[in-house]
Amino acid sequence: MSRRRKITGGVLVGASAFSAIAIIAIIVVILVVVIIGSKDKITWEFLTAFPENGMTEGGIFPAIYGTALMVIIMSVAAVPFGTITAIYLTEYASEKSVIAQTIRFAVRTLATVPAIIFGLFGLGFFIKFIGGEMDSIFLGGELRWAQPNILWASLTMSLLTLPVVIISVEEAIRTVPRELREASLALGATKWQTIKKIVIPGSISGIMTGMILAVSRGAGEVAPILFTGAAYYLATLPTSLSDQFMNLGYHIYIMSTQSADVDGTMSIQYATTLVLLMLTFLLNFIAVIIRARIRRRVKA
Amino acid sequence: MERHFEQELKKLKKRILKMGNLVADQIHNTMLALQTCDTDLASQVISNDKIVDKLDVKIDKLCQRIFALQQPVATDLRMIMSSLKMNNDLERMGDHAVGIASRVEAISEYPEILKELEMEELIRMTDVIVKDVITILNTWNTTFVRDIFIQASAIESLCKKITDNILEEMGQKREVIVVASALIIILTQMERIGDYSTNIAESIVFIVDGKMIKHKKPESLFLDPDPEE
Amino acid sequence: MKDTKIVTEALSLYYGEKMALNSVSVEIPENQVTAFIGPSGCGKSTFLRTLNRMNDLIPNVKTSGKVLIDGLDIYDKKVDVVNLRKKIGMVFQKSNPFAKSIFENVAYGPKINGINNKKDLEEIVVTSLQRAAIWNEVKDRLNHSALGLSGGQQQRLCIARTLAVNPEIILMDEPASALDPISTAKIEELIFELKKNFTIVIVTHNMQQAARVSDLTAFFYLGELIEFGKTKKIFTTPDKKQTEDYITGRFG
Repeated sequence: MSRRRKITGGVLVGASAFSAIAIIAIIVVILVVVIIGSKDKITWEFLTAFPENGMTEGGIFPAIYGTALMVIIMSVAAVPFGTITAIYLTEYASEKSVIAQTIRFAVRTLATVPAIIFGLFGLGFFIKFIGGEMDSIFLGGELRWAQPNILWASLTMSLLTLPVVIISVEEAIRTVPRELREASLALGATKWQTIKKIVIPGSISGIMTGMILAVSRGAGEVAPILFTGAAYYLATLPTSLSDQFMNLGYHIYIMSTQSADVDGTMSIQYATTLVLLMLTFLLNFIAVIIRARIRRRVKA
Repeated sequence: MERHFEQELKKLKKRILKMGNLVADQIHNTMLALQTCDTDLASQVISNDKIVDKLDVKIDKLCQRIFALQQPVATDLRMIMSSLKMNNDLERMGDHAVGIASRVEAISEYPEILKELEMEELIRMTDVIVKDVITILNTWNTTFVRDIFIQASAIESLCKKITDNILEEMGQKREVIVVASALIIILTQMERIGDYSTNIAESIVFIVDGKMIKHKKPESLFLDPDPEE
Repeated sequence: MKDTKIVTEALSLYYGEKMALNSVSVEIPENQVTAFIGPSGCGKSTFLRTLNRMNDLIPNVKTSGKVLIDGLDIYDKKVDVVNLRKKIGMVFQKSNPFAKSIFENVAYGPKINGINNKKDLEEIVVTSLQRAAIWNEVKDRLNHSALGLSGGQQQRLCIARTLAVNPEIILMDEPASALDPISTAKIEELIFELKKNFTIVIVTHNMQQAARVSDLTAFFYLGELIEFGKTKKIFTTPDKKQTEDYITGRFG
């Protein structure tokens, strides 16, 4: 090996090692800062209690609960819709058809739209238009749905996460080998039977991953729910789809900008951040475990 | 595929053995016809040669088919190569039987000559060598291959001796010249039958042991280990 | 001569503008193994896939001419492709078991056909595995994943899966090309057994394999059927020089 190649090789190895270490270092620094900042705030009580005294004391349970609820409603909306779209794109639409290309373009565009625009769209479309219509049709103009609530927030969030679901499910479906589809069809299965029994089970790990990625994205986003359902403070938990809700990300935002005592509640902010981070990590971790499990089951 | 291929090989073995038995019968009948100057039996041998020829073609085709379709290797390859050769040798032995049978009539003009020239012993030996070689073909036991070589060389020397006697006699008795020349041809053919018998024995050794023993002196073959190996 | 099972009449096929089959006419007899040989890209696989309309899945394919199975044109508009494929099984080049248990792989076809009775399914699975000569190797682990089997076993499992639908015709697209010689021999022996009950059409670029397993051989070149006849004849005294050149390895 020539000297120059040796040097180039060495530089490359050094650079990539540096990048890797830098990435790890960033994560470690964030975690350390957040953990130190949250002091001993993370207690069972903090996680299960309501905020007290103008949110300067107490826990963050409503925010955890609201986030979880929103994420669930969002998934229920985004995952089936995204999966069906992905199935249409991969299995039914021909690669070059105008419709498929339009959908693909739309999905790509949707993925690049800033989150705040989704929030505005949700406000205009779900709350003003759909909610307003619902109220005038079913409730005779009584104001119920034409105001921010957890349903509209979740649906708005599901729009934001839809591209993630579609793209990851599409990729998962594409990894199901053509040979398996052909084998199924050759046995006299219809196209739908093949999709139901071979394609979807074969891409289930991808679908799950897409769902969890969407969930962790949705759990962390704040902008889309700003105008569509997140509340500054609620004394009760949401019990209906038309209720507003508290949210972890939003809670961090208001605690650090609009709180009665921003400096005094620093540890609450750190602790809330830590909870949100852990929640996201946990979701990703579950995604990894599910994938590994499915992969093992498939191989066993 | 092994099973199908095995079936084909079995069929081939069966046919070769059938060919061997057919030719042995032909030679046996020829020898009998010659000894007793039975021209009827001789003409039966001649007409039976058609059957031998037919079987010869059948075996050739079978070998060709196996070569083309089954790509035999190792023992199977040797088996089929040797079958082709043995088939050929047997067919030639059959031809020689016909050659001898067609001269029985000439001999029958002067049957005493057989006795005078010790032909009876040669006839017996020819019959025996063919029977023995067919036994080897049947059992694939190469233990007795050496006997075939010994018998063949005995036939060869006896043929030579009788031929010399005939030539001597022809000088003295002009009247036997037709019979004598027929007899010389018969002797050559009997010698050839002995030769083909050794060929078949060699082929069987090649199948069973994978050794090529042709063109080697039989004495050296069985007494000393092959220096090349 | 056996009865004719499949007939193609002037069958041509285009991928867009590119011609893949040029007016192929053959008669494939029942309960025989018919092999299609030829160099890569000669159209033999394409031809095979016209017989169960697998080419329908590829966009821009145009087919002309006729394919008659038991006298019925399978490209007729009235033909239900799904039912057609139940009648015509297919074994692929790469063994492609589903990521399911061995049992579920074989039961897949019958289940799709509406057989849900557990006992009936079990019977079909066992018989199919036996017929595919793999029963003894898998009988103790029917609930294990099919992906844990060796390549040769997987391919026999795929054959069992095909048999479970009880087809009349089995199309095989280079079924042993990815297997070792022992597994190949097992597959070939299996083909030989199966022809008693099925009409088998096999595509292979392994000429020796065609010679060993088939009763009839068709030689394809550049989308055209060059020669078709008894395997014995093709491999000993072919009529066409192109066939001779191909089988003797003197091609091009």
